[in-house]
Amino acid sequence: MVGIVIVAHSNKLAEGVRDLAQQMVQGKAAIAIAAGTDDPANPLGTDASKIFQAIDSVYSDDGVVVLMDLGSAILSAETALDFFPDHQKENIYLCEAPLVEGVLSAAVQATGGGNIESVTEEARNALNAKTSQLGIDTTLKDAEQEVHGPADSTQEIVLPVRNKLGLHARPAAQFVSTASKFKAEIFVKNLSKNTDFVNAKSINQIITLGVRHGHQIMIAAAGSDASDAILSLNKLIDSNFNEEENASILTPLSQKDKGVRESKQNRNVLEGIPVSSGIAIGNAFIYRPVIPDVQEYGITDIEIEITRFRNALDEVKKDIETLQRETKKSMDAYDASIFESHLLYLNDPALVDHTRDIITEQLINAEAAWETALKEMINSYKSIGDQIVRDREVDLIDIGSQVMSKLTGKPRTHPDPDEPSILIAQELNPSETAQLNPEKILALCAEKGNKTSHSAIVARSFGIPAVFGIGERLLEIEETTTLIVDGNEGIVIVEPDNDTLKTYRKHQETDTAAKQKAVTRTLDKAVSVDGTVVGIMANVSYTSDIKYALEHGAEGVGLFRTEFLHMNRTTLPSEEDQYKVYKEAADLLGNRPLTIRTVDIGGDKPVPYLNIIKEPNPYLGWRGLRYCLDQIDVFKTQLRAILRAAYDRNVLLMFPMVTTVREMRAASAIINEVKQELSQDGYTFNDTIKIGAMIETPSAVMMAHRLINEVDFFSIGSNDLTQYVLAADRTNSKVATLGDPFDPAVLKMIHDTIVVAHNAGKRIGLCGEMAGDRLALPLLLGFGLDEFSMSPKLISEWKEALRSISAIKAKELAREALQCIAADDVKHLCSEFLKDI
Amino acid sequence: MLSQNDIIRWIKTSATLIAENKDHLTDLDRAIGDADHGNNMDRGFKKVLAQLDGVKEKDIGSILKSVGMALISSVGGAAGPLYGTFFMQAANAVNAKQELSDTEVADFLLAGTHGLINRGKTKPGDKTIVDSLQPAVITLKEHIDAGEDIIEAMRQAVIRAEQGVQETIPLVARKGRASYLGERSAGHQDPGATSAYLILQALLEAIKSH
Repeated sequence: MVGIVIVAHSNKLAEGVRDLAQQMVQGKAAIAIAAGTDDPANPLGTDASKIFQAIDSVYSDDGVVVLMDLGSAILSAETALDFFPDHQKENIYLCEAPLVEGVLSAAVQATGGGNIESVTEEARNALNAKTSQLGIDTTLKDAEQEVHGPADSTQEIVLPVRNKLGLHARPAAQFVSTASKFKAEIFVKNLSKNTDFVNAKSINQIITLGVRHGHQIMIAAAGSDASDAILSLNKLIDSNFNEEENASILTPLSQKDKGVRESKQNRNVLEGIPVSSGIAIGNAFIYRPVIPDVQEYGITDIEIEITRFRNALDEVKKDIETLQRETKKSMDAYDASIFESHLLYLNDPALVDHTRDIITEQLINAEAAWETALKEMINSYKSIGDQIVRDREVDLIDIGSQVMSKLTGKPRTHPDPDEPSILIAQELNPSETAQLNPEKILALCAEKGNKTSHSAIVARSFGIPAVFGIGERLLEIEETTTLIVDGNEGIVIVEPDNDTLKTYRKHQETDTAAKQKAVTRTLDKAVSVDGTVVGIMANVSYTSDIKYALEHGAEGVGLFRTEFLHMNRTTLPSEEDQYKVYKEAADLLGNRPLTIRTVDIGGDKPVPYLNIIKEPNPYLGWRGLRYCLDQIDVFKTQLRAILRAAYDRNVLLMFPMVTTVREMRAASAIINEVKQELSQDGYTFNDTIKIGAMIETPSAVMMAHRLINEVDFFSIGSNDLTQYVLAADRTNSKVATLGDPFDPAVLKMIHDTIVVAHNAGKRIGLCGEMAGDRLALPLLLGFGLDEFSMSPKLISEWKEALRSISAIKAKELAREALQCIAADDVKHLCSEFLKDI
Repeated sequence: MLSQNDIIRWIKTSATLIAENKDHLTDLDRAIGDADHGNNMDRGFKKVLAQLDGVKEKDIGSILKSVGMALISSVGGAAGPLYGTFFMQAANAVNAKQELSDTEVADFLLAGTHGLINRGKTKPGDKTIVDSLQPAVITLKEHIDAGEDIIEAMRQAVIRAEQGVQETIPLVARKGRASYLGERSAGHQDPGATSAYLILQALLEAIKSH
């Protein structure tokens, strides 16, 4: 049973209230009292430790509702709450109801078996009986209190709201935008729900009115342009917010057939781009950000804090405006206007001014103030209990977490699903994907994105099926809906029938069986049917991946990324820290090669302590080797660590994003300096370490014949090379089809580079996505590539594929492919080639 | 630099100053509240003194925590949870330290002030404790950050607190019992701001006799 605690200044008062309530319920309620002081001379007062004991005496997991008289009673009750551990605290409600009526109602509800929510709710409503008995018109009183200005200038209008959505989402945004154009003070209330007046210029407050289709609202305005304001708002409402047939956003998928393909079996099928193969069956988990708990700390300079806050808001506004512009190009104006409501949140006085007030008054940091303002707003949404209003919470959290991320400089936080599930996301950015827990994810589905987006690469490296670029319809799927994700075909089946499920379960089994077979032979050499042997290397980011890679047949590491060593921290990793990591990695590999790539960070993944900030054009910006050559300290620290770890170990060194021969020479000069310094410092190091250049830019390809003289080996980074050759940003889904590594332009570049390396008698590998793509296998084999470096997960199946291919025939295929004019033609050739086997 | 003995002296001096000004505080409260602030604070600090012997050998955090708990459970009025929270939060900021640097002194007072403001959901201008306490603590912090001697910094803080007390006179109360009076609360000095000033004055005296 829910417990009740009465907190009052006077013990007599509390006892009286208790007796009154117990009389109603024959003494069955669990009521405790914390009232008065222990000082007989001054008996009136409250005491937090008494309140703590009282709550404790009636506490159970059913919850406790605390009713207080006034003033210190409230402060003491809040203080008492702090003495409880969090898991108990959340079951204790401090209720604002009037004491006598509240305790009575709570007692009746609690003894009737009500839960904590209903007991609290009942207590809150306790005043209604008195109000109506006395015939008090609360509407009138509110209007007098809330609408300022002389009464004769206040203009009012009562209107029915007839559009489908009511005052939510876009209509709410349009309403607030219109109201904000006027100087007049404008207030609105929902007459149908008997709410108080709220500020018409606050999106959050408008949403809390919970105005649905058919409700009556009253608008009151005071000020010089009050009548114009009322006229405009009247017009807007009369026009039904130009909603017409567009109001489909909230219609559940099952009731909608527009854009959903109905096949013979009558199933809902969503189509997208297949980015990672495999089949998954499971429940949908909607991947949404949450507001993280942030550290609160005191500040002394209010100005600095407010400026930080304002900058964060501005950055998010800019992001949204950019997105809005991009979206407008491809969608109709109505759809893009959803961003307007996002922008309104960022201008809402109820959030923004409130945050500023918290910073100024409580002298706390912007993060903590923003968190408080957001959580207060979210709670007020929650307390309304209207589903549509609660849906707006998602928008608020979306915006809130974006601002928080700008403030903290950390990626947004998302909860993991409890059960392994199919993740439904709008878009997955690299920092967010990096946080995913692969064990909890059966498949990835995203509204945006494509084959080359970073998250697709991660999905493939996890071996998780993924379909991207599905479009807006994806986001209509509700949590826990059963889904089939077919990463081979690029489709998502919503609520499949039993037959479909059966068919796909069979597919899954065949898939698994084939994988099993490949795994048993994975440690065998990678050799073609006619005896050509190639090197199979692993791409890894952490030393912990190396064991797995070796078990899956890797012959070494062709790409050891060092970005993760440098990200998600606030200071440079020390030489010693890095040395330990590199040494450990090399030792795990025994005498197999470890190819370490120096840090490859740029403006797409900002790292404040490395001076890497967001750039408008990060892929053409300050990154890779260019960055290292400018940041000598960062560069030298890493080189020292690598050279030391390479002593007596099979470690190779390579540089990312080499653009010019001079850069390569500058890097070599720095290596020589570092070697000198190391020997002066008395360290042992590898004096003859092999050095490689990554071939990722068209300029490096064109100058490969000169570059090769500067290095011992080449490694082609096919992902970046593709985006630079075709001038197609790989994070932009609109140009995804253009940025195809099978494009003959890219293939020519790869082919020519291989020829240059071989003519100089040097080895060449490829460590991009393409290396693990089975469709590209015969092509690259035909070009004569020496080394394929890929995600360890892909190795066993890749080796298995190689075992059935003839290198001689692959050479013919390669020759033919170079004659093609389009990526599709090449892919067609390759799949025909593989089919014949 | 403040030792654990200085802290004890501060608390004892606070108790003395509160006792000496008990009637004055109650008179101030009679004009705009429930005429109990002086009695309440005096009762609270008497309880603090009674418990002080038990913790005087302990670290500064434990001493402050004991002060906070004593106030929370004995003052009776809103000042109990407010000053109680002030000392508890201050205690959290210093933990098990045996002595505090000048910067740490400013920081622990600031932490306590944040706690008190959060508890009361109040801001400067509401005619409360905050009107003298907050500007004074900020003044202290600024002077210490500027490298000034702690005695001089604290002297400036007390001057600012006194000014804050005076500034409450024209204000209309927006928090606490006085807020029930609305406009009629203007023209009276706030008893809470006054007791906060006394506690800061006590700290200055404790530091001076170091």
